[in-house]
This record gives sequence, structure tokens and C-alpha cells, in this order.
Amino acid sequence: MTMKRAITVTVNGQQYRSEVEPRMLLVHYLREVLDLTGTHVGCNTSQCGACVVDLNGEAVKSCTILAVQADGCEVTTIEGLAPEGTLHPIQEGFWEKHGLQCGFCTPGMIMASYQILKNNPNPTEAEIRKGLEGNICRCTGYQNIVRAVQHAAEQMRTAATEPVGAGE
Amino acid sequence: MGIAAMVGAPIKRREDPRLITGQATYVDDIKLLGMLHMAVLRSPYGHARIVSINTQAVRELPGVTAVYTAEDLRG
Repeated sequence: MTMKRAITVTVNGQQYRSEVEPRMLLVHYLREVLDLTGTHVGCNTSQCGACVVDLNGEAVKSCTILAVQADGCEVTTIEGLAPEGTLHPIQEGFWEKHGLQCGFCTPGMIMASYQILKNNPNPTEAEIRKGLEGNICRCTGYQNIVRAVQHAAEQMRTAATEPVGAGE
Repeated sequence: MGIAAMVGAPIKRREDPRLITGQATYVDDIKLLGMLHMAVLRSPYGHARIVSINTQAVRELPGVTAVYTAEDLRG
């Protein structure tokens, strides 16, 4: 067995110090060492996107990142997208617009959508579909996923333009 | 919401909150105390006759808890 390496990773705002084999994938580190099983392994071939997380502000497929590569980095997973007990507008959008059925692809879809909307708060349908090219869904046929992202984008744009203290 | 009002109306699903927050438990997410990994060895040949299966060496490998063949399943 190869010697383990010490890594320090901040995941969902919490810092973790661990010893991992260099070959350990980030997705396995998150799922097995940190018990964050919301990030899924769908294909083992980096095609499906069920493993997408945010790494230093960028959406990445955590099955193609080694845990040692995340040393000193900040990772956000689906569990950390919104404070416990609350929902991010993207999560709300998927719920509202029936953007999921079995839900297996959904964390990856949401994290990929998070990146899309960070870069482009008002994406066209084509831009949403292009941004989600790396995510596969077997259940929904993608139409409601697109609607979910559009809904989230609208909610986020509205919230961003509301004066502080407006509404309830 | 009355039943009549529900017909044709979009209803939010009850299972979604767990699914959209990564709290759902799919089979690979299940963690129980003392869980082991199982690997299946399949025949490398498409058409062959099993003459013998020698499990002695693998039983002695560190970390191996058990090895099962058809012999172990005979009722």
C-alpha cells in the first residue's frame, strides 16, 4: 500500500485534516471519509456528472479529481449549498418545477447549475442545456431540469434587485 | 387542498426535500457498522468446465474476511 498523504480540505465551510492514499478520488473522500453521501458516483467514467461539486469556485467532476489535489482547497457539496433547514433557490427550483424523479443525478445537476448561474445570471435555454452537457439524467428528459434552472435564475435575479428590507 | 382542487394542479412532491439536499440514502450511501466490501470473481472463459477452485491463498491475504464458492451455498 502506498504511503498516505496528509491533506487539509475545507468542505462546506468546515476544515478537515485527513490522511489519504494518493489514488483516492475526491468523490470517495467526500462520501467515505467525510460521510457526505449526497455527491454520487454514477458512471465511473466521468461522463454522468452525478459527482459534480464546487472546488474553489469551479464546478468539477469529483470523480476526476484526486483527494490530494483538493489539499488546501475549498469544496462545496450539495449538503453545503444552503444553511441547514433552508433551500437554495436552485434547490427550490428543482422542487417547484419537478426537475427530478429518482433524484440520483440531482445533486450534480444542482451543483452544475450553480456554476452556470454564477457565470450567467440570465441564461437562455440553449445556454442552460450547454452548461449541463456534462450531466446525464435517465428519468426526466431534461425539460423540467431546464425549467427548474430558469425558475431559479429568475428567483435569484429578483432577489438580487430587491432593496434590502423589502417584502416580508 | 381539496381533492377537486388538486386535479390538474402542480403538486410539489413529498420526497424532494431529501433528494435536493443530498440527504437521501441510495444503496451505495448505506453505512452500517462492520460493513465489508464484496468482490465477485467471474469466469474469464466464455465456455469452460470448472475443474477446481483453490481459495487457500486468498483466504490468507490480510483484510480478507471470507471467501465463498458454490460449495458454501450447497443446502
